[in-house]
Amino acid sequence: MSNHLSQDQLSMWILGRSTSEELRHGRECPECRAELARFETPVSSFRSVMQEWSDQENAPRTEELSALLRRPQATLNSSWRWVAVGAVALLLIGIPTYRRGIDTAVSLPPVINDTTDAKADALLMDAVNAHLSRTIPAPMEPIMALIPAPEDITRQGGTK
Amino acid sequence: MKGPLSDCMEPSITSAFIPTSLDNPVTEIQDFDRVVQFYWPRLLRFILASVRDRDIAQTLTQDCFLKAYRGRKGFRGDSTLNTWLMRIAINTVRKHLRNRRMQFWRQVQHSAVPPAVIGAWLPDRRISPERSALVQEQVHAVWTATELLSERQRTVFLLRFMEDMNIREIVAATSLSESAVNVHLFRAVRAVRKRLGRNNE
Repeated sequence: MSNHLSQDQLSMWILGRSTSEELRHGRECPECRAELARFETPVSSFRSVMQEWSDQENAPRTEELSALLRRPQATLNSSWRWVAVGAVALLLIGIPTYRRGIDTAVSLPPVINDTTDAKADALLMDAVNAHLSRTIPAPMEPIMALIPAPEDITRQGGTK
Repeated sequence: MKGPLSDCMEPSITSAFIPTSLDNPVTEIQDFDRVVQFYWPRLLRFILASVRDRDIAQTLTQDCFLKAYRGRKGFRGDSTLNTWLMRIAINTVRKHLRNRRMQFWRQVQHSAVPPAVIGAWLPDRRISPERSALVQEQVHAVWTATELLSERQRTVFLLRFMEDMNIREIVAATSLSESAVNVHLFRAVRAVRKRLGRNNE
């Protein structure tokens, strides 16, 4: 069995989460030290190169920056974008529902009108029947009221 | 909370500036021009190492500072300015990567940085050609190894080993728990070591 640090122990060593014994071993053992250097050296070079490169990349100058910061927000921020999406979704769902409602409303009135018209027609027909069934013309009706009806004459004992 | 690695690795050139810069972050942010000049390189290199496209990295860095400027009144100084800006950068990168995943038809990155180019950004031009070639190879290896990490692993790895941030700062910047950061870091280190070991063989 090896006394060297395991792969996981080496990773923990790099992250500074080793026990004091592992820590000492990592410093003193040449093999483990070489194993750790395989990580440390390239990572150190990588960091130096990236820092060197980024330090050479110029940040925007004051005037560019002021223009940039004064620029109005070109795009909607995410919350407003969601509100817009919600509104569109509502419209997409709402318009067909609304239109279906109108179609129903348009188709219902004839049923109601049919009933109303039928009643009106019936009333009109009654009125026409009543008018046609008169035995005397309408202007003579007040005079006819003065003439006793045949039933009344019979009840009073008749006339000679 | 630096590990033994920090003792043996070269000291970060940026860490020397942080104490003077972050004495009073709330008043510091008032001088936004200075904030941009100071933090631009840091955000740019983090974003570049995350998205691997130079033009996109420039645009996203600009977006980060626009967001920071618009949200500067909300910065109360609970965290350092570095952490706050880094959090904006992490969220910006995450949003960009999510959008890019949605655009599955977009395969070509116009200004993607080839790993060989990264190696050419050498810190000291006076080094010997042999040494230069060795450094290029090392940088290339780390660049490629970090590309294979998951988004979270890469983020915590870059914050720890490129930006020299400690665990507490990474927790504040990523909004992850401390244990989650430790787990992601451990997996990232293990994966990068494996990859670097394979390159050395």
